[in-house]
Amino acid sequence: MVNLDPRNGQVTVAFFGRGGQGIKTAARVLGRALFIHGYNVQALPLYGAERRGAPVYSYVRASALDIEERGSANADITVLVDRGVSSQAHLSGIVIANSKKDENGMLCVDLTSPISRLGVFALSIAAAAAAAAIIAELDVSNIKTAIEKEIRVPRSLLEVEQALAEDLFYEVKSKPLPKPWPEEKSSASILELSPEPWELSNPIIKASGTSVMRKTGSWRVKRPVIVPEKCKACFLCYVACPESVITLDEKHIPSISYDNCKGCMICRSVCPFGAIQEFPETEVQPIA
Amino acid sequence: MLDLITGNEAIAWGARLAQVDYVPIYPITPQTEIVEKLSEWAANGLIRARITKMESEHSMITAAGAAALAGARTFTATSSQGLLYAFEMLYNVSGWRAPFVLANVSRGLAAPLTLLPDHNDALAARDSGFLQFYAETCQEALDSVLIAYRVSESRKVMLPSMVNIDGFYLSFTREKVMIPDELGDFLPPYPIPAISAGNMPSMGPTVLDPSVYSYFKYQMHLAQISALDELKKAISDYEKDFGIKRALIDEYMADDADYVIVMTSSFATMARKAIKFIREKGIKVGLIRPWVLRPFPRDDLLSALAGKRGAAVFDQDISPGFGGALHAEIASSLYGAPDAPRIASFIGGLGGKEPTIEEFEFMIRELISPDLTRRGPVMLWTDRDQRILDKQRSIALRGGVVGR
Repeated sequence: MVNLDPRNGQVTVAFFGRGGQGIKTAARVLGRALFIHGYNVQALPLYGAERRGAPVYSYVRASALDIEERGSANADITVLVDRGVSSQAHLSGIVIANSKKDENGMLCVDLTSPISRLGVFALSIAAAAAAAAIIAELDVSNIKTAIEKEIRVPRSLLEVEQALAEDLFYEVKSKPLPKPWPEEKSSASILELSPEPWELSNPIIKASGTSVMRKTGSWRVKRPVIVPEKCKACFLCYVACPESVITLDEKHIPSISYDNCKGCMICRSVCPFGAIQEFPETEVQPIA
Repeated sequence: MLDLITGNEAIAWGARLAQVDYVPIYPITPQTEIVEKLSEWAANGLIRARITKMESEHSMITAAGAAALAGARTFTATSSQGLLYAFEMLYNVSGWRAPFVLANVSRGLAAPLTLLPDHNDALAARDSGFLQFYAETCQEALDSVLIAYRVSESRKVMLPSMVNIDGFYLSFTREKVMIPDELGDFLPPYPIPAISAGNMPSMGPTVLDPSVYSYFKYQMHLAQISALDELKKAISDYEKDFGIKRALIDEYMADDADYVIVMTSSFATMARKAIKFIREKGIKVGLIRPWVLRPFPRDDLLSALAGKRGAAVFDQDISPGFGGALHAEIASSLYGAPDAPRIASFIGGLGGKEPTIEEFEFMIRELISPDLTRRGPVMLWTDRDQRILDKQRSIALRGGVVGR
């Protein structure tokens, strides 16, 4: 049985998403809410590249006792803010997914649409409110105060954000809890490293065009979609694409390879005919 | 006041409470937030320090040392490549006997490139003459800055201090911190008078006689040794004034322990969790965590290790071709001591590689029944690490998993 009450022992929440979505800020807001409530808190982000779209993980630990651990963790609650990251990260505990559709084994709630209406692409407060809703004893007022403390916006926008967080808080509270996903088993065997030849043991990348081996399109936040009826086969998008993911067929109509399209929208901006539309990626990517 | 703040903000609070006069800055991940916070406070009139952007860390450290000698209480911060860029100036400013505090937010050194922490940067500077503090928590980060000012500025010391916090695991991590409202008389007034027409020190005499050069270097060492006493006085006053206990060597479940893990900094918190797990298996294990490495607290360390059957030293650093720095210093301190425990050397945590509970348990089991043919350190490496390497290698080396 997963522990969702910091008075019974530590509760760990993980947020998985991408740079620019407010994953660090979600941990800040939830951490502040738990701290206001009186728990000991440890809130941290972990990421490699400091870049919009790069995978970002953040963790919040809360307990009535001292917290004697650090770093990444198996979570009691995992908030999957961006489905694209789920293939790289281990989902554990009660999984709350940012999704319009129902996904097996997850508590699904649409965090993106209410936030998009605000006109700011910041899922932080939505994600924090969603997690707060299932942590025992946490009040919606804790979340609202935390938002005021951690998010610097004009008063009018603050009140809108707080109202939005409150709505999501109660929406998540009303849903049944799914079964928790199992923890990732920690590695067991210690190996001895042998010396390896220079060809292997220096960090040079020898291959070119290695992007095709890694689905760099998983970083995408927005997806360009070609509208064939409007396309005049002018080649501009094909030439302008910095990732060379656009190919032309025998009629010179372009198609985009989504394995490596990073959603920079340069194609859309150079198209003189409005033949490329833009969609938020969270609406189209399935959870792996 | 109690607040939830990051390690970077805790460091900034230390500088703020010390009422520093001057902060030369240069940004680098993961320390930049420290100087951003100080700049924000200065812009809002909350601190009176003068903030000056330099064009590099080399100039930044030069400016810090010069300002300290000109009568300004000075603070600055850097990490990793920035610390190394300033390297020759670290030795200069300590040779000048300029007291100031440098926060180093540890980050593994390139190449290869990482943003995550290890201690190769800070430990590279262990011969520079700076005092060195290694914080485990955000609270200890704040405490270290305040105690560093107090000890650096004491008459018998007058050397700069380096306060190290791990990047990400402390720098960007929010924890509960008790921030004193004000320091009272914990920190005496800055000891070097401001320069003026009648008081213009000059520094940097040209080539000295070897005896004279040696004298000055020996005096630096003696000043470091004096710092041990000053640290103890500062720790005692800090507890009296603020109710917070610090110790040159922090111990956790070590009293009745047969075996101990010895390590510094934030990853020691991971050892605490592992120790509880290993104790459930019936092995009495504890943690010994030095907080200060310069001056090296030899006597306190020897008494912490007295009576222990084994000590597993976890070095979050590596000297290729030799092994770990912490292990070397501990082993040399123990040599010849009666009933010295068996000690073993482990390298881990490089580039922020989190040691697992299994790896901590392995360290203890190696102590209990060591492989006596082994010479040199164990580099901690697991099947999970190998899988991650194989996956990235298959991309970097013209496709396919490379045969072993």
